[in-house]
Amino acid sequence: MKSLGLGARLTLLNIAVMVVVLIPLGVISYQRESREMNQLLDGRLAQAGRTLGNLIEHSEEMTAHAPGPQSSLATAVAPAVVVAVRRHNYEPEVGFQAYDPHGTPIAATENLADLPAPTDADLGFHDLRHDDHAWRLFTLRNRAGLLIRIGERSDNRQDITRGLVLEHSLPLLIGLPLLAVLIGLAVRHGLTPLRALTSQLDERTPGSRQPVEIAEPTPELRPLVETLNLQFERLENALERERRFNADVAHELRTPLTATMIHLESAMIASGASMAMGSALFSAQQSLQRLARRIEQILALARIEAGAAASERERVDLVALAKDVIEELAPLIVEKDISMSLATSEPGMVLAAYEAAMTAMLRNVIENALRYAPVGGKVDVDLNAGPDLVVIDVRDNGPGIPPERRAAVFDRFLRGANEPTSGFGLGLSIVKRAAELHEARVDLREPPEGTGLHVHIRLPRRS
Amino acid sequence: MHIVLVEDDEQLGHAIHHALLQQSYAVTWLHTGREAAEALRDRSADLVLLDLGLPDRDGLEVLAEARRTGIRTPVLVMTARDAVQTRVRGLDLGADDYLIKPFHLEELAARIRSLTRRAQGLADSYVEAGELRMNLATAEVSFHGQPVILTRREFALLRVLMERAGRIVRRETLENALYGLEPSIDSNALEVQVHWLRRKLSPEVIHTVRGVGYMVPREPR
Repeated sequence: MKSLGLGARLTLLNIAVMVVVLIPLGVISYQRESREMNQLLDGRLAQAGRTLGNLIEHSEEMTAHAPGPQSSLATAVAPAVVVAVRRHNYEPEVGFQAYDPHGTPIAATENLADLPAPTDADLGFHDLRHDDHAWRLFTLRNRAGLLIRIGERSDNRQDITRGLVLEHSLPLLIGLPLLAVLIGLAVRHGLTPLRALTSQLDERTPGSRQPVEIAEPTPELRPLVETLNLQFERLENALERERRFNADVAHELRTPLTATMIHLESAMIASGASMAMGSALFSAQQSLQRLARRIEQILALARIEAGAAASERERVDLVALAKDVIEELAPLIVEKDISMSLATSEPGMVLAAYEAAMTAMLRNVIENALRYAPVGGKVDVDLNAGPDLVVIDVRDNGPGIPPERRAAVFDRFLRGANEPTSGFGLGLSIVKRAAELHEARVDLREPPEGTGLHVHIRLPRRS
Repeated sequence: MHIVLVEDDEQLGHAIHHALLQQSYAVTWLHTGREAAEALRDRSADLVLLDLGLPDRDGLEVLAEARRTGIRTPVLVMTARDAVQTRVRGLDLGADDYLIKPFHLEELAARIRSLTRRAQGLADSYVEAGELRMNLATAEVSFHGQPVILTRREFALLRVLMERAGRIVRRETLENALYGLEPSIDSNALEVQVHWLRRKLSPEVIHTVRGVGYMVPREPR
């Protein structure tokens, strides 16, 4: 029942309510109708009995003038009645017995002929079984003292009532399914605004924060839509604040950093030949560059989170992204005279990804390789696309991770402890978070020969 | 050479102002977008260093307005925004170059040199990268002060690389520079030209980034 739709539920409830009301109503009206019918037929039966009594009385008067065998009357009446039996649909099988005041039978129909004569105790209505049939009988003694018993078969009466009930309920039986269909349609129509809302929510991209709108919100749906839109708006505002905060933080950190860098470089130029001062300034510059790198990494992490919260994946060309990242790292490549290569199995690899996270992951893995590779060393980036997997391999020929530290770094990385290992930590956090977002698997491997680090990333491909 | 610096941050403005004075440029330091617009309008500057995050107006807006009114003064945009869109929009709106903070003085000085040379016109325009010097007007190239004879294609290739010294130039860009939009007959043609250039100059003059492109370092290692 849980999975039953609102429409089906309403339809079934409607039908159930109708059945619950209509069945007792039907039963009650059947009972009343058959009682009315019985009273009506009883009345008719009594009237017929009296008419018959009068008829026999007069015919006796006639026979008194012209006496004849009594049996002739009995035979004369009987066929007439028998002939009348079942000429009309609702004409019941009837019968009678007539006795003179002395209890001598005057006449009887064949169907009741062998019934024992009634006594005065039988006067009025009573039911009786005779010849395997139920009979409704009426006994009377008229003014002439004739004892008349007239009856009709009860089963015929029941046929009449049943027929009547059937006549009445047939339209209802045809009407009920029609009613059910109409209720279904009505409910469906009534639920249109709800369906409009659901289909709108269905069609949204999961990250969307556009307000929902339905043409005619009913009083029940309006608060729902308003609450939803309010939540969307709050989320949008929160994300917008976060975006602005990130941009502000970026600006607030980068601007003084730039100022310090430029001051330092001016100082280095001005210090000229002074070696002691020059080397101190150079150290300061190195530290400042490390600081700058950390800041960029922290900003990248913030961007990754903002991007993941704010939007669904976009179509991103991994090859183009890798080229952009390598271009940005050009100064480092030149500085260390690195032999850098990018090899791709396809000229473009479009996949659904979070661009900020993917860029940051590539940047950190490649930058790390460039930093750890020796001067004149090698960094190779390979992108291999399969039908449902993209593999990113970044190899350097640096010192790699010494065996005694490898386990620790691996463990930290895999367990996701966020404490930074020297120089590696923030970068790993970025790679780890970006990998999580893309359900990617990252392995740190050692090259088959020589030293170095091989970062192997397996990325499920979604388009 | 008169440079107008538009930067609202006191520290950074001071640092750049000081550094440029040290390098013998005449520098006017302005703090607002309104002042920047005025300075662009009276055309007294040879180059404008424009920060985008100004207190009163958006730097990009000032730039777009100046370009609309036909002011062609070279503008170097400095921004702390990291969105690629900002970069692209800046160039679309008429910036001649951009720098993303944090940047090195060295980088800034190189961009300024390159922009001012471009602005001075072709007559005495030349490009330098490390020990390489190229006269664009006479198509003369020298390396360590020694003249080098280059073919037309070698010159075209080296020119693109030197104009973007310190940056990787994509294969596609270089191939276009060599052959226009015609498909190259030989897919190795670019490698062949680079090979000859290295033979005539020195192997380390052109740095290869396989799968991406080539680069001429700005400073010799």
